[in-house]
Order: sequence, then structure tokens, then C-alpha cells
Amino acid sequence: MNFFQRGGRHRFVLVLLLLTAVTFMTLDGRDFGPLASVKTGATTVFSPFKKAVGWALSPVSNAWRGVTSYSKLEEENAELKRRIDELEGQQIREASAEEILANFLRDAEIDFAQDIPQVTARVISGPPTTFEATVVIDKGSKHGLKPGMAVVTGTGLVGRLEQVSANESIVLLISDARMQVATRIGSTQVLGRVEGRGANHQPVVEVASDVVLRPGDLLLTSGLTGSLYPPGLPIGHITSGAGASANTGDEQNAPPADDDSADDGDEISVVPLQPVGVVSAKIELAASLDRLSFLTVLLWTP
Amino acid sequence: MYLIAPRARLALSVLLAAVLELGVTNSVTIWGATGSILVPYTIAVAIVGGPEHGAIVGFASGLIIDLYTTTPFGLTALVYTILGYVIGVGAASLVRSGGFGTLGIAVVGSLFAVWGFVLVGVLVGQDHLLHTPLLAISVAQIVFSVVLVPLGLPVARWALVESIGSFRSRG
Repeated sequence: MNFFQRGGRHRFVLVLLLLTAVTFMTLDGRDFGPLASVKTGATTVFSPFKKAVGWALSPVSNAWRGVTSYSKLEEENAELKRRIDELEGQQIREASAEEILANFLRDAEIDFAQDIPQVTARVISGPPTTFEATVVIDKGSKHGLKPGMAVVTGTGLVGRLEQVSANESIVLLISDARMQVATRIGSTQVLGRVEGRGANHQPVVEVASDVVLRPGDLLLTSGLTGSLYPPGLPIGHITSGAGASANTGDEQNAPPADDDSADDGDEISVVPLQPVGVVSAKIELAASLDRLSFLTVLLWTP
Repeated sequence: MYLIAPRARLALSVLLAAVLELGVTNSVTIWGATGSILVPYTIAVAIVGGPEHGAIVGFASGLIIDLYTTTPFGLTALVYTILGYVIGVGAASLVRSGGFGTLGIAVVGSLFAVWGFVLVGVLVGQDHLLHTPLLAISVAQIVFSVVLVPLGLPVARWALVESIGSFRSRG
């Protein structure tokens, strides 16, 4: 009894804070403009401090990463040594430093979506929590970036912009379980859907059950009307190990589907639903999501 | 005795913890997952200052994290507010009864923060949270809290030194 009497003020504060949090969630869900502006402003003010502390304490975090990722670093070291040997061999074969440089530049530059304006950004941090697969880049609305724009590396699609402030943006990676991308199988032009399955899990592709999925098939963005992504961006290929697992029955009507990501409801192309099952297979992404350093944002909106 | 008012000290300590969290901790991983500094600090403030301060610090901490995540704005604030309040209420009883140590509270608080976030998130449509490495996140958060709650207690006492008197006089 005594507790309830003296806890009145505490409970009042609790209820007030909970109602405020729920109000924020509701307004955010309805894309309330002023709230977005406040978020953007707060992020912009906070970022320099975050960067300064990150820079000042980077020796500590690097040391920790060295301790906890020692075996991974060893593997990377071995892989780099292997690559060096390979390149040295290539150098001897080609006997021309210019040719090697030309080959490197050819591999590094993006040879797709060349007609689309691009902004290159540096990855400045990973996600603040492990609950999502995101990275933060050092370019924002000041550089022409908008939510929903596709983000790529030289090898393929990495994700899309989820939140954009003045000088920073959050990229939702393709491995995040919220990501769905309408895809087209390169060899057959069949439409399907690539879905993220969370960090540390391979994404999967889903197609109608009467489609045969072959290991090695290349997956590209579909280019369907209203899709968030420009057509023809490499996503990945079907892995030989996973195979095409029959998954018919329950999950009807999945492919061909458009990007979920247009959750704001704008310009979603309507695809007639077919009463068919789906088959799915795991895919290996064209772009490696480990240790991303630089990303390219395609300044393209549907 | 102190040049800065208690509320300002509390705000300063939360901002410092938030800057550390956003600038450093996302690169400190345990078993592939990272924990939060703001969870142990919320727990520390709740233990020292009680449910009201715990809830306020939890709310502020959660809002800062919400700025940098893609889940609904306010979701983390909601969960951390409840965390601060519950730990504040629970710690007062448990510490008095002597049955639980600070580390036990840190472990329970960590599990509450992680699983509460997932539970409330799923309730508001964030089903993707179920596809995250929950075991690894829980372990990382427990380790963070067990290490950082004892370090956060003196900071919380410094931040709340005049408020504690008023809290106790109310309690």
C-alpha cells in the first residue's frame, strides 16, 4: 500500500514518457514531416561529436577488432598473399605495368548504370545495434541523396538509402530481413524476388514453382515499372550448394513481385497475383558486404 | 559543491555515453554482435536514482539510439523507459532484501532490454527482428552490462548526488 502511495509521481512520469514514445512511433509511422526534420537536425548536430570520439578512440576499437577477429585477419592475410602471388604471376606474364593498371581500373570501376549520375561515399560506421544490417555513409541530402536510392559497389547492388540527413545517410543492406528486390534471372528473363534473411544469412531468391532454378544463374534487378532500382544491376547468382528447394503451397503469389521497399506506398506497379506456389534458392551476392569502405549511390528514382 | 546542476550532469553523462556508444561500440563485437553502453548506464542510474530517474534516462538514451536506427522512432525509447523503471523498482526491493547483486541486476536488465525490444518491435510490425542473431546479441549485451554497470554506478552517483536525497526523502 505504501509503495503505491509514494510511487504515484514515478508512475505519472512513466506513463508520460511511454505516451510520448508511442506518439513518436505513431508520427514516424505516418511520415510526419516535422518529426523527420527534428530527427535530421538532431543527427546533423550530433554527428561531429560522434565522429570526433570515434576518431579519438579508434586505436582502442582497432585493437579490440584485432583481438576478436584474429582468425579472420589471418584468413584475409592469407588471401591477400595469394592475390599478390597471382598478380605477380600475371605481371610476369603480361610484362607490362600499364596493362596491369588498366586491368585494375577496369575491375574497380562500375560498368553498369553508367548513364545514371553517381555519388561515391565513404562508409563511416556500421549499425549501432546488431538488430539491423545497415551502414552509415558520409554523404547526405546536401549531395543530392534521397531515401530509396540504390547503393552499389563495382560488383553489384549493396542496398538502398533508408534515412538521409544533411551529411550522412543510413544504407539498408540487401542482407537485412526487410529487403526485397524484384529480380530477373539473366539467362531466362524470368521474374522473381530476392529477399534478405538477416545478417550472417544468405539471401534467397523466390520464383514461381514451375521455374527451374539453376546454380550459377545470374540475378539482375528487374526494371519493372515503379521498381526502386534501375534495371540491370547485378544482385548475385544462385549458389550450387543450396539448390532449388521446393517450397510450394503456403507461400502463394510471391513472384513476380515488386520491391517491398516502396513501403511509402508511392508508385508501386500492380502485378496480378497468380495462385501458384514458389520455389526458393539461396544466392551469393555479387557485392561482398564484409568490410565495406566506399559505396556508390545511384542518383536515380523511379 | 558541484558547479553543474544535477539535471545538467545527468544530461551530460547520457550524452557522453551516447557519443561513446555511437562512435566506438559498434566496432566492439563479441561473438559477432555488439551491445549497448546506454543499457548498462540506464541500469546504473535506475539502481542509484530509482525508477523515475531510470525511466527518464532510459527514455533519453532510447531516443538517441532511435536517431541512428531504421526501426520506428520511439521504439527503443519505449523499451528503455520500461527498463529503467522496472530496474529502479526492482533494484530498490532486491538490494534491500540482499538477495541479488548488482551483476544479477545487470544480467536481468540486459535480457529485458534485448528481448523486450524484440517483443515490442514484433508487436509493431518489425518482424525482421526475429531474423537477427538474438543469442549472440543477448550474450554481447550481458557482457557489456556486467562490465559497465559497476563502472556506471559512480558516474550515476556523481550525476544524481543532490537528486538522490530528494528521491530518498520521497521514498
